[in-house]
Amino acid sequence: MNRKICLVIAVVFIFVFSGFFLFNDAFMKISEDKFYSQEFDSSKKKILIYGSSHLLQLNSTHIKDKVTTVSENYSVFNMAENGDTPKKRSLNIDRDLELEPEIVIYGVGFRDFSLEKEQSLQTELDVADLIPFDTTEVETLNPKLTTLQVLRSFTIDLMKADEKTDIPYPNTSIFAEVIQEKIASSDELRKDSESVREFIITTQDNEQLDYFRTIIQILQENNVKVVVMATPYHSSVIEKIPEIEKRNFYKLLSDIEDEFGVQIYDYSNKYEGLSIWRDTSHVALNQKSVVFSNDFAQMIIQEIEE
Amino acid sequence: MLFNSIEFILFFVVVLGTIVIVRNRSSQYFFVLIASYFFFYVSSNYLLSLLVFSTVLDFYIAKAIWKTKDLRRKKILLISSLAGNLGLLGFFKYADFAILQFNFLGNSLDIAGEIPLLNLVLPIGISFYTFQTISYTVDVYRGKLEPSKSFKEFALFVSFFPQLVAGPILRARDFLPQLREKLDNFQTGNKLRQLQIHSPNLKMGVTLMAFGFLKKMFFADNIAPLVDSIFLNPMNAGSFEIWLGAIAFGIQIYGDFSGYSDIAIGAALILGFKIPKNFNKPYFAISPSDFWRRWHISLSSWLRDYLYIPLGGNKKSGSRTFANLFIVMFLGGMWHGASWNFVIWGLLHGAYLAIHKMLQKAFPTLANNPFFKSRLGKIISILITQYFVFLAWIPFRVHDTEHMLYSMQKFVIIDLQLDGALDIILTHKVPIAFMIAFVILHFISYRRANLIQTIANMKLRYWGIVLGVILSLIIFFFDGNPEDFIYFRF
Repeated sequence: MNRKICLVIAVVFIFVFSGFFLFNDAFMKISEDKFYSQEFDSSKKKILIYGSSHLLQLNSTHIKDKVTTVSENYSVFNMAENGDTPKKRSLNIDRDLELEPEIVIYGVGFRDFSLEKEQSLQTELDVADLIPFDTTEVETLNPKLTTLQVLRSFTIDLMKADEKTDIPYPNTSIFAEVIQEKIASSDELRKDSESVREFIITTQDNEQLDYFRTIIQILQENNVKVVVMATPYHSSVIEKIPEIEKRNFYKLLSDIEDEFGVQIYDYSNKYEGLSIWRDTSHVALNQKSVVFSNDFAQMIIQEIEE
Repeated sequence: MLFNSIEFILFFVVVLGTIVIVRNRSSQYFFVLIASYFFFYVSSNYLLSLLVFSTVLDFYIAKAIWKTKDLRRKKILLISSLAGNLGLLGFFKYADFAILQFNFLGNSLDIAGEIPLLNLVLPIGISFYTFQTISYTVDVYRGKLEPSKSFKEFALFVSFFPQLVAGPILRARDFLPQLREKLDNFQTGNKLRQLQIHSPNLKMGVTLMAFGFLKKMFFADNIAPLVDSIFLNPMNAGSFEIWLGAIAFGIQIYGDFSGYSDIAIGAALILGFKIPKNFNKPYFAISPSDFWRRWHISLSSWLRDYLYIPLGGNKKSGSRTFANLFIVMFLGGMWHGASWNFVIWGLLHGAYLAIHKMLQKAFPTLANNPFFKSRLGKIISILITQYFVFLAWIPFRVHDTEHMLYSMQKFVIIDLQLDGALDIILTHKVPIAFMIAFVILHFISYRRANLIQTIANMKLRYWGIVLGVILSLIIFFFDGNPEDFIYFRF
């Protein structure tokens, strides 16, 4: 009897996983194609913005408009993602290269290269290493995203609904990004700074740094100009980071500059005292905070003109 | 090693496979013990030493208590066990909290200088296994339990991997006899029981695990983004959002924790061990005391047996009973974490229990009133109870004092600020759909008390289909990042 039960479990697993991979193969491509086929003029030179939530709220339309005043030959795409890390980014680098970008501006902050405190307890033994097959590809899957995209397209077809009433930007991520327009009060910022975790940045044996180097190397090998910027923080975060960690971060950037000859722009404390913050690590997206997008556009223009 | 990871599935398959291959009973138990330590080591590294320390301490102290006839010596031994266990728990879990309070007091009294924080790492599962070892020693002290003769067996009781990091909190008198061969329904022999995988246990265990994964990965993890977005900064939110957030968090924490318990109970059952259930449809409780008979049963019964009753329970004066309830719920709140918000959560529940007791005393016939036995009466009782339960979830979830007070105020004093309501519904259609699905499933399982048993008893092909549906739901709505269980923090 046990054998029969085990057989049923095995069949269920094989059936469900096969179904899942078939489904994923069939639909994920479509959704990806859609994502990467945003309505851009393929004859224009593309500038991609990489980074995490710190750059997510850059106003790319505003930046594009500014850049266009100098040269109409450029389009700007903000590809920043919540919780992005060099490791995650490296998984999509091949697909990005298919877009044949001219320039990639990579925004990095203290968090991108820091080991969180809890991680220091990790055992040397990583159970994942014992698995006898490469799990990298599986780790990049997001079945929920594919399922929801399929469900969405199915229900839209079914109801013949006008996509624009529901989804403001067709062909982009189906998750509505919460656009944080509100500027936080100093009291809210003070409170937020209390929850900032300690950063531990090491310049050696840093996995994220290795991925970051690899990304730059691949981009340069494909004749893409890379520009690195240190993302801005509110003063309360800057004050909280121990001096040694700050030194490590800037040392790490200067090493990158020397190694790859990339231009580094330091925005880390450029706006520390301004009242433009949604929280201590993210600039708000509104008219008052447009200074960030303006400066960013200026940086692009400078790079184009060089 | 998270339950909801491929590593755990592989680990569990290896454990089962080895048990099937190795037939020697003693070797089987030794292997499960080593596997449990390995499981703990992967997530806790050197903190494994604390588990070993707690095991050694209570094994030998309980033996000494059992041997001695001198009551005073017995007491000294018991106190040393309590001091060792609670000292360990207190130091690792509450030291920084205590230092913070001292520093705060010092600042308000204008005393210069601050005590530096120790920044200790909280050992995973420490709240659970220290309670297990304490109950063992206290039971031996009370003469209710004979101490374990074998260190290996006792060590397995303390470290048994399915329930090690987040319960349910096992009692030695429930677990240790299961290691021995059964003579009849009441007695066990001296010979170790052969670990075998029996078909009914395998089917039931897998079904329980599947439901556990469904609760955690399908419901809790998919509802979490809604909770996070509401409580990240609840200031300016209207009552509708706060209610939605509180209900969503209630579902999330239930799915998360009862899901973990189901996986633990299911995994243990496959290995041939019965662990008592930890949840029994708590959101259908008709009173605060009924809620605590249904929520985290292993903790609430532990607090009752080893704290509430020794304090005098409800056998003394009315005021003493209320004081006992507050003490127990205060400590129950603190058990969850070194933070004032857990204390507030515990005290709120203490207040609910005390008020409920007062009402029972003041209106002794009310409980037997036919209205409260009727369907409508029950529904009203459930709604009133759950209103207070969900109100108490706010301090459990929202740690910032100002945010917490604001949210609680909006929960109690309802406004008609609905301008953000449509936005939040449209932005979070998916989590809201999951919430509705959960309510339906919870209601079905309430109406059909033995739903999981019914599924486990199905013919193999139908059982396989149900399993396939559950697995599909989990996989197709998994976002690629296994989330931690909330109770791992405790």
